[in-house]
Amino acid sequence: MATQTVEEMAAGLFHDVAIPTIHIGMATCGLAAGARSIEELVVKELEKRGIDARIVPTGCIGMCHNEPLVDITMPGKYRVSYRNVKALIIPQIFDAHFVKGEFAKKYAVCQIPIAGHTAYEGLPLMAETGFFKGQVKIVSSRCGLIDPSSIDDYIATNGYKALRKMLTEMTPEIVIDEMTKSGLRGRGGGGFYTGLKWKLTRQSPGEEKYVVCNADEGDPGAFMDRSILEGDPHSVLEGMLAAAYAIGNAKKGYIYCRAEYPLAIKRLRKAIDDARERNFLGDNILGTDFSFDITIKEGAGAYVCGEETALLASLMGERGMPWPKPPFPAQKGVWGKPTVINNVETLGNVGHIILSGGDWYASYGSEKTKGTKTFALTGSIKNSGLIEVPAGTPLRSIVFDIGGGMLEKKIPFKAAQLGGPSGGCIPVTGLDTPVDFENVIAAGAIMGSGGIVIMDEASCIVDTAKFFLKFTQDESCGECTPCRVGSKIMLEILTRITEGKGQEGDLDELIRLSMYVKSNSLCGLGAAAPNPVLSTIRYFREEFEAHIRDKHCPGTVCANLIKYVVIEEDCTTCGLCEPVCPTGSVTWDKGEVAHINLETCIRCKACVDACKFRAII
Amino acid sequence: MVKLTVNGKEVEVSAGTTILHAAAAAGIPIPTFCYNPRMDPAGSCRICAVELEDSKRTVMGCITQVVEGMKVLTESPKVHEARKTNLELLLLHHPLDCPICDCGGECPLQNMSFSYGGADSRFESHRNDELEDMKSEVLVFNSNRCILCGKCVRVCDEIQDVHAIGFINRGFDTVIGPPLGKKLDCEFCGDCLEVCPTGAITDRFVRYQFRPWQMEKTETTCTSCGSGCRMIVDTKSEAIVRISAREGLGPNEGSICVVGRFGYNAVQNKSRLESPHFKRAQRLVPGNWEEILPKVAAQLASISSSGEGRVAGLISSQLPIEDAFLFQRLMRQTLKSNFIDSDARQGLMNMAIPLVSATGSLRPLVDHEDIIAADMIVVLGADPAAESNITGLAIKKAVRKNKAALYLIHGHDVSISTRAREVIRLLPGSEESFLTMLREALSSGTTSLSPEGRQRFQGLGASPEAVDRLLSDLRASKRTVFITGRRFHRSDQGFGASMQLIRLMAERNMFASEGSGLFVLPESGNDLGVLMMGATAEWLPGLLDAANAEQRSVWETHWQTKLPSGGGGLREILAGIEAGEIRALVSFGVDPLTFLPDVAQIRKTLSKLELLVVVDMYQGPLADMAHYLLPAASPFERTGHVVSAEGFVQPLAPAMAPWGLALSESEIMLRLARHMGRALPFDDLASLSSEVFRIFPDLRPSTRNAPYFQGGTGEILLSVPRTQPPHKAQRESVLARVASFVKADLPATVAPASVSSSERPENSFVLTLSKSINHAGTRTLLDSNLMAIEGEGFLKVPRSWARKRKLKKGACVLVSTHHGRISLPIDPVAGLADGEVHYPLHFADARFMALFPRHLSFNAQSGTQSGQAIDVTVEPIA
Repeated sequence: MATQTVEEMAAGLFHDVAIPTIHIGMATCGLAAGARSIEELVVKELEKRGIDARIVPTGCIGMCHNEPLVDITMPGKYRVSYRNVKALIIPQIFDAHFVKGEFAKKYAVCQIPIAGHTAYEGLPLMAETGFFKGQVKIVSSRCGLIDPSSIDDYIATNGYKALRKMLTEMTPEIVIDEMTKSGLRGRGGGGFYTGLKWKLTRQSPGEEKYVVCNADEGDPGAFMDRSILEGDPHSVLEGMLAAAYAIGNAKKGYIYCRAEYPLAIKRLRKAIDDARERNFLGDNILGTDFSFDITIKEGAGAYVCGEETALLASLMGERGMPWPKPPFPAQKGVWGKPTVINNVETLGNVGHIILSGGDWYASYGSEKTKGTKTFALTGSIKNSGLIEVPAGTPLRSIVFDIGGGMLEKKIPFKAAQLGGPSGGCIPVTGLDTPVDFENVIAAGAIMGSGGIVIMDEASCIVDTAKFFLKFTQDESCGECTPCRVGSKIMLEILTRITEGKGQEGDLDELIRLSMYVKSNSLCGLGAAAPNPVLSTIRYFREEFEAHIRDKHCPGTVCANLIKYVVIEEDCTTCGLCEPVCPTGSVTWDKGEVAHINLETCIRCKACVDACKFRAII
Repeated sequence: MVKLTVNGKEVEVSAGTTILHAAAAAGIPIPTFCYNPRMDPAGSCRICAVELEDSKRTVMGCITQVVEGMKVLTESPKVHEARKTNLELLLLHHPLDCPICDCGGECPLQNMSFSYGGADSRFESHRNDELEDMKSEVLVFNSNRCILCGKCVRVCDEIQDVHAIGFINRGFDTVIGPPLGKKLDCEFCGDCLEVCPTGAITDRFVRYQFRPWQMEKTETTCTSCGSGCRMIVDTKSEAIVRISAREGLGPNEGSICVVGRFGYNAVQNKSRLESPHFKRAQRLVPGNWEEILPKVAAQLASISSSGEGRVAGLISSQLPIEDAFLFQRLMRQTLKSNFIDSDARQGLMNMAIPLVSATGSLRPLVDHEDIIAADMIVVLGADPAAESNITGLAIKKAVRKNKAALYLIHGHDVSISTRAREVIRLLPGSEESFLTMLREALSSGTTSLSPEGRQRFQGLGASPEAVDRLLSDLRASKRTVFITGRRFHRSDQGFGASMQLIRLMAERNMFASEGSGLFVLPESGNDLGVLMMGATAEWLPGLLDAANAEQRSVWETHWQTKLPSGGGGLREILAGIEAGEIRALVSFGVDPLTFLPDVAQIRKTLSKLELLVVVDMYQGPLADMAHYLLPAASPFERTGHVVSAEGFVQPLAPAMAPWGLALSESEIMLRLARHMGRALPFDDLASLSSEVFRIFPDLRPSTRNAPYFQGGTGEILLSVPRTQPPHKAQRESVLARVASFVKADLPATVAPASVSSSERPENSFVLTLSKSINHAGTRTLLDSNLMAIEGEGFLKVPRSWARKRKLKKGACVLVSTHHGRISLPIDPVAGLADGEVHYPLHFADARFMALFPRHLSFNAQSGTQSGQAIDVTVEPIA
C-alpha cells in the first residue's frame, strides 16, 4: 500500500466545492515575492467582476523561483498554476478562466490533477514538468496543496489517520519496529536511525519522558524545515505524537523553533490549538488513555542551539551551550529525563511511514539511506526552491534536471556546496555522486540538513570557504577552545588570503589547524566547522594557490586580487563597463575593446560586476 | 569492573569511570584546566586530550568513559601536538602580562605552557586589550587573561548555587562577569577567584601586593563559625595577605566563605593590644609580663583563698579545647570557683542542655554528608549560609542534587529560601508553641490539620497549607535532618522548643534511623568544644554533671582535689558581683558590655569588683574597666584544636608571630598558676594537648579530606585517601538515653505569645537581630576588607511598607521603644514575616541596645538571656 497520489489527495480538498478556488502561495517565499499584495489584487478583481470564489492560502510547493504562485481551480477542472504573477497579468488570467473558460497559456506552469476532474489540453501535468519529474514527494506532499492553517484540509488528505491507526491497532513496539524497518535516519543531518533512537529512549528507565522537535534550522541557505512547518504543520505534530506513544511515559513535547520563523510559529500555534480542540492533543487522545500535549519554545537566535544538547539547555532556560555526551538525551534530556529529540523533517515523515508501512518507505532511496530527502536548492541555479528526491539521486540530476541548470547559461558550473557551514564543496568531477549520507561524506561534504548552494565559475572558492567559516565563527558558543579560537584564527588566515596577504605555508597551517579543530572540539558545530575549508582545499587547491602565490582571484570576487585588465578576445565591445566606473578610468569607444587606466582605478569592482562576459580579470 | 591500559599500565576501574579518573587510579596524571572533582565535567578546555591507541583518535579524558580493553596514551606525540596547539590558541590573544599579574608564578596556564607549550607561535593575531571590570570592590574581572574554562561560573552555579556570574556574549567575544554589565552582587565567597586558573579574576584587596613565591603558607582552621573550614593562610613578611581554601582539604573541600577568605585584617588591625596593661590613676598603662603577671597572680591567690566562689571566669568559645580545659581547671582547682561561663551560653545553652540530657552528647548524629543524602531537611530558626556557610552549601546541594524537601521555618527569607519547598514564617518567640503543635498534629495521625489546628498555626504567623505540606512530607520522609540555628537557640522559647524538637524526633524514631538526626549550628568556632571541656558551670569535662557529687568525684579523684559545687553562669556571676560575693572576674575574650542591654547598670555592677582581669586582643568596653588588661594572641598566632559543628577536631597552626607581646590564653593561664605557686602539670600547650587527647581518646584530631585533584599546578593526581576518624556521636549509645528522656515529662504547652499580625497597629513591628553573612560577631567591624563589603547596618523592613511611604534603601527611620529611640537606615526587602523587622547584630552597638528594657531577664532552665525580640515603632523621619 502506498501513500496517496497527488490526484487522490487533491480530490479530498475539492469533493464538495462548487465555486472556483484560488490558491495563493503564502509561505515566506511567496510573501517575500509579494503574495500579500497579489492576494489583495485578486480579491479586488473578484469583487470587480462579481465572482464568488474561494481564496485559499497555501504553503510552498517548492517552486520558489516562480513565486508569487497563484493556482486557479474551476469546478470540475484541474488546478492550474501560474507563476511570477504580477498585477498586470491578473486580469488576463481571470479573462481566460472566467470569461473564455480556458487558461492563460502564457503564464501557466503546469496543472495539478484532481481525481474526478478533467484536464486542460496543452498544459503539462505537474509531474511531467522538469522540476517535478525527478521528485518523489512524501514529507512535502501536502506543502503547497493544502491550506496549512486548516485542520480539515489536513484531515482530508489522510491527516491524523496514522494517529488513529497507531492508537487502535499498534503497540509502541510495533511503531518502533515500523520505524526501524523504514530505515529512516535523522534528517537534521546527524543521520542517526530514528527507530533506534526511539527504542533507546523507550528502554531508558523513567516515569517521565519528553519529545522535542528540533525546529532550529539555522544553516545559511536551508529552509526545508521552514517549508514543512509553514506548509504542513500538523504532520510534525502527528510525528511527535507517534514518538511520544512509542517511547512511553511521555506527556509533554516541545517544539524548539527559531524565532526568525514567525510564520512557522504562527502556523504551529494554530495547528496545536486546532489539534487540541479535536482531541488529537491533550488528555485521553481519541478516547484512549494516551495523553500528550505540545508547547512551543522560541529560540533566541543562536545557531549552536540546533545542536541537540545546546538546544535542550536553551529549552530549559539556560545559556545555549552544548554538554558533553554521554549522557545522551535519550538517557538524560529535558529536566534530566529521557528525551527523544528529532528534526522537523524526520517527524514529518513519521505519519506517512506508519500509514503506509516501513517497507514502503524503505523501497525508496539507496542502500544505507532509505526514503526521500528534501533539499533547499539555491545559488546560481535556474530553478531555486524546495525539492524532495529519493536518497541516492545523483547530484547531476538534481542540478541539471530538477534545477534546470545554471542561472547564467554562459557561466558554467563550478561546485555545489552541500550541508551548509558543516558541509563542503563538490566540484564538477563529483557531479555523479549519489546524494545520500555515505556517498556525500566520501566526496568531502555532508548531506546535512539539506541545503545545496550552486556556484558557477564567477564565484570565488576561497571567499565561499571564508563565508561559511565566518558564519560558524560568529555562531560558536565560545565554550571550547578549538572552536572558539581555532575557527577565529582560520578565518583570519582566510581573510588574509582574500586580501592578497597570503603567505607560503598558509594552506598547510590551515589544514593542520582544521584537523585540530575537527578532532578536538566539544560539539558537532566545532567538529564540522573546518569542513568547508578542508573540502575546498581538497578540490580547489590551485585556486587557493592562485590567491596566495599569484595574488589573483580567478572568480574575480576578491577585490584586491583582480588585475583590472580587459581580455581582448573575451570583450564584446559592448561598453557596459564604461558608464559604471565612478572615477572615469574605463575608456571605451563604440566597437573598441575597453581599456582601464590602472593609475586612477580605485579597484571598486563595478566594471567587473557589470561585464557579462567575464572579460575583465 | 572494566579493565583498560593507560600508557601500557593495566588498571581496573568500575564502569562509568572517566579516563581521567582511571589514569589517576593508575597514578598517571592528565593535565586539566576546566576539570574540578566537585563539579560535573564540562569538557570545554580540551587540554586533557588523550589518544586511544587502537582508533588513533583523540578524546577528552575528563568526559570520556572507559570501555573494556581501551588502550589510552596520555603522552603520545599526537596528544602533545594537540595540547601544544591548544595552548598556542590560548596564548595567542592572552596579554602575556605575567610580570605584573597576581597569578604569575602560581598560574596553571603558565605551568601548562611550560610543560606542553611551544616556543613560538605560527599564527599572528591581536592581543586582547579590554578594560578590566573594576565595578566590584572585591573582585576584578580581567577578560583579557581569561581562557573561558568556565570553572568560576560552574562553582558559582553548582557549588555555591548563587549564580552571580555567567558567560556574556558568544564565540570569541565571550567574557565572564555579572549579568547585564552590573556590579558584582553576591555572597563574596571568592570561590571563583580560587578556581580561576589564570589571573582573570583577582582579589582587589591585595592586587599587586605580592608574588606567590614571597609567601609562606600555613594550613589552619577557621574559628569564625562552626563549619570548621580548613584554610591556607599566606603570609608575606609576617603579614597575612591572602587566605584560600584548597581543593579537597577539610570539611569545606575547597570552599570558604567571605569572612574566612577576606576577614583576615581584624587580627592585623592597629588597635590590637601589643602589651600587658595595668591600671594606674584610672588609666591603663603599658607594662610587661614579668611585672604584671605576679601582681595579678597574687591578687587572685588572695581573693580565691578567702573562700569558694570568690572568683568568676568567662571564656570565649572561639578558643581551642586546650584553653577551655585549662580554664575550667584553673577556675575550679586553682581558684576554687564554679562561677564559670562562656559565649556558648547565649548561643547554644538552650539547645545544649536538652540535647545533652537526651543524648549524652554534643556531637551530632549526622554530618554534612548526611545532610546531602537527606530526603528532607527542616531548618528551624537559622540562616545556614550566614551562620555556617558550608552547612548552607550542603543544604543547597541536597536540594539541587537529590531533590531533598527543604523547609525553612524562620522569621524572614534567607539565601536558601528560594530552594525551600515551603518557607514558614514564624514570629519570634513562638518556636516552642509551633513545635508542640506540630508534634501533636504528627501524633494525631490525621492527614491534614483540623480547622482549629489551622487557626492555631495561623495565630503564630504560619501558613496552615505550608504546615500541612510539612506534615505530610515528615510522615513520608526516610532520612530527615533538622537543623537549628541562632534564632532558634536564642529565642525566649528556645529551651522549651529544643525539648519539644527532641521529643518530636524521638517519637518519630529519628534517633534510630540512619541518616536522620539533629544538626545544631553553633555560633562560634568552638562552642561545642568549650562545652565538652566543661568550661561552663553545668558540666565538668566530658559533660559530667557538675552538680552531681558522684560525677564530680570522677575528676576529684583524677586531679586529687576537692572541686567547688554551686557556682553558675553569667546570670549568677552578675548577681554574685552585685551581692559582693564574687570579688574578682577574669575574662578571656568575653565582653558582656557588647551584647547585654542596659550597659550602664552592668558597668555599675562590675565596678564593685576588686579585681577585673581582661585578656583580649583588643581594648573593648570591658577592657576600659579592667585593672589588668592582657594581650591575647589571635587564632592565627597559636596552636590548639577546635571542634566543628560536624564534630571534627581540627588543629590551629600559627601563621604569624604573636602580635607584640601577646600570648595565647593558655600560656597566660599556665603562667598565672605558676606565679600563684599552684602550677598545673603542663609545661606548655603541646603537653596540654596530649593530656586532653589522652583523657578523651574520642577527641583525637579528625577531619574530612575529599580525594582531590591538585588543580593549582595543572598536574593532577588523585592521591589523598579519605581519612575520617569518628566524629559523629554513637547512635547506639544515644538511643538508650533518648528512650529514658522521652519517658520524662515535658513542660506543659505554652500558649502562643505573639499577637497575630492583623491586630498589629501600623508602624508597629517586632525587632529581631540577625547574623549577616559578611560578618562574624562584632570583631569583624575592625576588618577593613569586610567593612568594604558591608560597612553599615541596615534595618530590614518590609518592601511594601517602605514603598507605601516612598522610602528607598538608605533612607533613615526612627525606631523607638518604651526605653529608647534610634535613627537607622533601612533596606526594604521582601520575604519578612508579617510585622517583623530585623537588624544585623554586628552593628547593634550600645546606642542600639538602649532600645531594649533596662532589666535583664534569663531563661530559668538554661540561664540564657531572654528578650531577644522587642516591640518597636518604626516611623519615617520627616
